[in-house]
Amino acid sequence: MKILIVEDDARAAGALERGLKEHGFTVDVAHSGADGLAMGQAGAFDCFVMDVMLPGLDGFAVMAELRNQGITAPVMFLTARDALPDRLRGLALGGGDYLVKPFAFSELLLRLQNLLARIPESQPNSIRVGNLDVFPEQRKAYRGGKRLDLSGQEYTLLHLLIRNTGCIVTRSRIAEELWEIAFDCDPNLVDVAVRRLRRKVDDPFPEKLIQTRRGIGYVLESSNE
Amino acid sequence: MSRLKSRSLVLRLAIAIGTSSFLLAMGSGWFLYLSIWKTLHTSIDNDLRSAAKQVLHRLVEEGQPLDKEILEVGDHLTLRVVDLRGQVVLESLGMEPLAYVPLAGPEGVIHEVRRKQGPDLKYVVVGYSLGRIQVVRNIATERNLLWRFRMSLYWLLAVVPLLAATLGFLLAKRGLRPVETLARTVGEIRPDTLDLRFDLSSFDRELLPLAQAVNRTLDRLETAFCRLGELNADLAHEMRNPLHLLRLELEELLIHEAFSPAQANGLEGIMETLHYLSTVIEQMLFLARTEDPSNRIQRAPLDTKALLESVARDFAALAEEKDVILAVEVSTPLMLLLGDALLLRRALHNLVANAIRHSASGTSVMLRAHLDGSAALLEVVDHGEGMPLDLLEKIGNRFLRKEQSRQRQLGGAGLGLAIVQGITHLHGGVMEVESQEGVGTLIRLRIPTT
Repeated sequence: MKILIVEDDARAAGALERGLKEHGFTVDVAHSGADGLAMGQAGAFDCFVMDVMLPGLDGFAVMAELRNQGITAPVMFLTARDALPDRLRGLALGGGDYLVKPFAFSELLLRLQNLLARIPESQPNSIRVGNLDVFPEQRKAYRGGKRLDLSGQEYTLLHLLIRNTGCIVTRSRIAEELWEIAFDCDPNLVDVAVRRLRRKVDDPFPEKLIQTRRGIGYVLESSNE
Repeated sequence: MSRLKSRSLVLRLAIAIGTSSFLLAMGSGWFLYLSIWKTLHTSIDNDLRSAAKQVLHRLVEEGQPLDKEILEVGDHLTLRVVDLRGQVVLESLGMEPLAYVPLAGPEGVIHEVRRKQGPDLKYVVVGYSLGRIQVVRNIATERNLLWRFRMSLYWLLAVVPLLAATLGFLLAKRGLRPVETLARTVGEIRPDTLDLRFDLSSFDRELLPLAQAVNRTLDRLETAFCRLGELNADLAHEMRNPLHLLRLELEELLIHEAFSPAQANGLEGIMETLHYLSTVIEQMLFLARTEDPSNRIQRAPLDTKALLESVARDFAALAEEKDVILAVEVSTPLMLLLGDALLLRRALHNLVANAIRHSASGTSVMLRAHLDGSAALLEVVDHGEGMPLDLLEKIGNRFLRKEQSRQRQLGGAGLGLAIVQGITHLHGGVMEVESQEGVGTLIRLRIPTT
């Protein structure tokens, strides 16, 4: 998979480049909108990771020009929260996605994989982590063969975590998923939701699956795998 | 009110008007008095001289005998004729003793005699071949007239300045009323009303420079405030990307490198601080946007009850954990509110989060909504610890925290209420706070429905 990062900040571009390379992507970097456009036209990229705020030609303009030239590879926009959300959502529909800075790298990775796989939310019959089984179609979860009695919200949170097994799920992502909140909400809200889920999923069992990543979010993984 | 001991302009004006009217009345009164005095005495002197001349004429030219006919010289006038030895030859009835009327001295000069007993006199002495003639005039009437004039003048001098000062006081007070209005309006200027300007056409010419100066000051203040706001936004903007970068790099480290638990703990602490900083910066940028006057929100009719209930639902688990009862009360069954759902939800989120944070277990937090005229009132009431007065005055300030200690809890930068206020202002409303220590806090968003 070949990805073009269009980001004017060299350090940010470097961090993204290293991270993506480690995960097996082939990565090129452009440091301006014009460079990005030129490179995007020349090389066959599978995906673009593009900062919206670029000097000169901004991310939207670059994408529009690429689309004009028949390049349909999906675009992942990196944006600040105060950018125009309506415009972003509209663009997201046209074969792209966006991430609000600051984001966790693991979240970018996950969203990129979704974007590249372009699988329209087909749910697997079951997901298994350790001795935890989740059946998305029935919205049911079992641990060690025993049914977990989860509320709707608890199930939604568990499903979010287990869909992203091994990846950190940020607090803001959890808030967005549980309450459709697109702002910095009271961090206690998320913590309480996770605490309640842990009480049912982890507390009765010796192996703790839900881990805290301080300052970032939570991750669900089994240490045996 | 301040106990400033300041001089009163109105009082000083009144005193000045009183004093000048006193001086003016005294001057003009005195001038009048002098001219009347002069006129009276000139006429007396003329009477005396013409009478003396007439007697001389009769005696010398016409050769009239020295009999009583001679004595008839006119009203108020008496006559005495003495021979060369000084013996009285003839005199009018009731003539004063001779002692008062010296016979010596130059002739033809008017003399005045002031006496303790009896009326004041004026006389003239003229000589002829057989002796001297003295004509005397009683000037009591004139003196009395002048005395009465003086008395009137004193009264005038006492009353006129008082009247003038009172009148001046009232006029000055009335004349300064535009200044009071100006002062009151200027006194009401707050950072969010810096766009206020005086309509110069409504000012008197004398006050125009003042109004213009205030307008110009407001111009400069507004520019400075805008620049400050821009500076804040620019600063936050400049810090956002580096912070984001730090987080990315730190995350990279944390995931891939093997650290001892102590090291990992330290790095995670840094990560937490970075997250806190990012949050603060996002909030500051949000605030800057709420203050941008060109910012227009998209308003749509909202079901207030649904809005409050959704916020209560968001906090249900948190409230349960803290054993706080969360209740919604909407007075009107279907209460529509015109506003931006996301922004209002964010404002209510901040308020409820605060309320729950400051509530003890077993107490309740209420989300209330009712109509008050053309405004919708959204209220969040808690029965928590309440706020001390000094904090209450600073509500809406940035980085407001109950304890100004350096120990701050990550996640609460004290921008929450400033954000709520910003959102309320965007909706054309105001935020009101009622709080009492140990009793609880009520925060009310008064949002116009039209």
